Amino acid sequence: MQGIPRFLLRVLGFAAFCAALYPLLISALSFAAPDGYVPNIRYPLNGYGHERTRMADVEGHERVDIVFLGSSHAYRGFDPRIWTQRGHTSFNLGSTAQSLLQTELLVAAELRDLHPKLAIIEVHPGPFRESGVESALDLIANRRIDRHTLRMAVRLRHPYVWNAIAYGALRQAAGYDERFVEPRRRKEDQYIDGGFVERTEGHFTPSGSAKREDADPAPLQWAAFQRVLADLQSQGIDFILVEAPMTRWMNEGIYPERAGFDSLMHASGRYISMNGKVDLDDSLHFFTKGHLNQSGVELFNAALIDTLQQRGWLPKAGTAEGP
Amino acid sequence: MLFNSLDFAVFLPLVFLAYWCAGGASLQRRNLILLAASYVFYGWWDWRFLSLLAFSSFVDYFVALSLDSARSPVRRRWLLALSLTVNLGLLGFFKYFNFFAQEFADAFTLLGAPISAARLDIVLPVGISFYTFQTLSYSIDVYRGQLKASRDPVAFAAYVSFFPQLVAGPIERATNLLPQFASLRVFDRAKAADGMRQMLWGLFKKMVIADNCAIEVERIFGNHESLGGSTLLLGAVLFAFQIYGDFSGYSDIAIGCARLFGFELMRNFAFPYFSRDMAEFWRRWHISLSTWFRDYLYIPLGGSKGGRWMALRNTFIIFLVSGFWHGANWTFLAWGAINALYFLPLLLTGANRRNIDTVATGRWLPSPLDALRVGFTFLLTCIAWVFFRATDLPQAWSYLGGMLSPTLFSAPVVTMPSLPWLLVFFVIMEWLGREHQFALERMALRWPWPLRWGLYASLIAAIGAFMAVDEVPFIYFQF
Repeated sequence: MQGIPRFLLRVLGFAAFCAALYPLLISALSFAAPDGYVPNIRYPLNGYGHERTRMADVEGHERVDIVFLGSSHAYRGFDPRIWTQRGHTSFNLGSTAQSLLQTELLVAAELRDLHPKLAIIEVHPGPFRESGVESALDLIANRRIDRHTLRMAVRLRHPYVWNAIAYGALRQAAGYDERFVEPRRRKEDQYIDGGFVERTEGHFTPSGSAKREDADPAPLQWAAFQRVLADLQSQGIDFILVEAPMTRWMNEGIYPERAGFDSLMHASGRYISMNGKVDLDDSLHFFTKGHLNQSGVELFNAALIDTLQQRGWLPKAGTAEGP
Repeated sequence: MLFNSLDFAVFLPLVFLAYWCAGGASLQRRNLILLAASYVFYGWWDWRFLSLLAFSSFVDYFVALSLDSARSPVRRRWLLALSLTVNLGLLGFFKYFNFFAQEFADAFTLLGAPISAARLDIVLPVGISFYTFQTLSYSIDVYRGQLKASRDPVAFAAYVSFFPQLVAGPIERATNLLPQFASLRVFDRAKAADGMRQMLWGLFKKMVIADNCAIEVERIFGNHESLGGSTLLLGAVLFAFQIYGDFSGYSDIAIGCARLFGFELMRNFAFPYFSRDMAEFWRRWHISLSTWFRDYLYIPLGGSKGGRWMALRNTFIIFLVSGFWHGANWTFLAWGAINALYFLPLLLTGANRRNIDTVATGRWLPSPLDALRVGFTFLLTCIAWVFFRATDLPQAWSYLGGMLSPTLFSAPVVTMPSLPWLLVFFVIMEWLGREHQFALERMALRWPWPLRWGLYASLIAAIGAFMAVDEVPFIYFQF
């Protein structure tokens, strides 16, 4: 027994020393090493999906009627301009490969200010099968690191995520990231105010046969999904689960056995799958297997609004209070 | 439970606190805590095999007690035979049944009377080769009168299942470890700190060196038919680093972890890749297994006392058995045979004990001749490792054939740009620490504490920055 308290104190001291030094060492490595030399430090400041611009846009944004959440199917699928024309203000909080763990973060951190009446969560089997790491890195690099980020990291338990937080915290504290201005147009993608990313060009051409994927949710993501729904309820926000259309090639080829997924969604709340409900052509209305081009977006959004109105699931138009 | 898992990172501090604080000054209570912790550790993998561990402990405990009281040599021999039958029977059933059944069927097919092999869907219990050898050594030592039988079932069961070395060694001798369970351990801060340093270095070896090499090795061995000779040579070299980093890393963590609880385990690796010949290599590689075979097989077979030919025969036997111990596959037997062949010229010329000190002792660099010898010995081990790593003998031959082709002189393909730099750093660290128990043992001890802690923190940061992302099980778990 003798010497144990002193030993433990030294171990704790060393742990604190490491915790303080770790971000510095990781950052030094990242700055000094050529690209690709340090595999576990990933910080996608200039990643897909205009996340940085979206996060700047949502900061101090006025209240809205509807918020959209989900992966690229969401931020490339729900166009706030169309919803505004139909009398509903909205903001699109979709992000690249957003899994339910990131949806959880965004619901907890961003919805209190936007104060929407309704959250439309884009659901398809993909995000429920994601590890959640890619999207976590996207959010860490392009959004302020806060307690919600740490909570997500604890759940993910992944070295990329911890390293990105250590590295990002130092960069953000030093104001290093503020120098980076994300272009609103990147190649064919145009960021539209309100979180949407527009792609007017492009048509989908299938190549090879689709590889089947399991549609059953992963336990980690399913648990996050349950927390998302509970958090929305506690904030008094209504929600609808919507599956944005994907190409027939993807829907029938990749997820041919999805009855279980659909019944899980139905059991979780009001759910609509828009696959097969809009007259879309794989080649004309999509630019990838899962992403609509603008002509597809217009058809899909109009059809969805009509459907939701018919069912009485939309809040009264223009009910959002001012900031 | 893997040493390189978050589960273990929680488990170890809890057991440490329970052992030193709740255990108080009671030897019995501390042994009980260790026993319970060891069963949790093993059961984390598959609780059903705890019964096997308990059964093995139970048999050898009572066999040894009976041996102690038995006077008749015949009865003593029967008791020893019982222990050997139970332990080797378990090992044989779980590890070798399918192999022998298949070979038996193949032999009949070759003779023109095809029969189908009765294969069983057997899961190999983790670490069975290690703990059966450990309990066997106990029964044999008691039989030989080198050790008194333990009368404390808790201490004995804790010795058999001691979690730091349970699943991949070092294979401890009862004469070394059991007495430590019989005396009250006193906490030694310096020893514990040393243990933590050794664990840190072991984790670096495993998570950075071995696991990253494993990715390249998998790529190269998996596509060996389409790769050039130099890349295949690189694959063999990387496998040499992988298996060393993996296994010696495990041993370092095990030894360091045991030190936290006041135990001293035997050394298992002594910088084997700095050996100047194969005999020296085998004195430095997997020491606990080599000495086990020496004491319980080579010497009982007559050792080298019957002349050169008997020494040769016995050397071949222990290398073949050692190869077979690693697994039921002809590749392991071939690996053992190749190492025996490497040994042959040294035995015949009586040069097998030429290099018993550490290379370049007290100097920064080796002499050119020593450097050449070290390089040549390393190359020989790499060639033998090809057999160890290959899935079957045709793959090993095909791999070696591809390696020894004109493309041996082309530039190798490496997909992980940081790996060569990590290996250079690793070799330098190992070279600098080669005169000690492990590379980090004395390094930086005289530096001011912020610098020393800075070095350790840098290693932790290197683990965080370069570790392979998925938890990779230790190679020797499968043995």
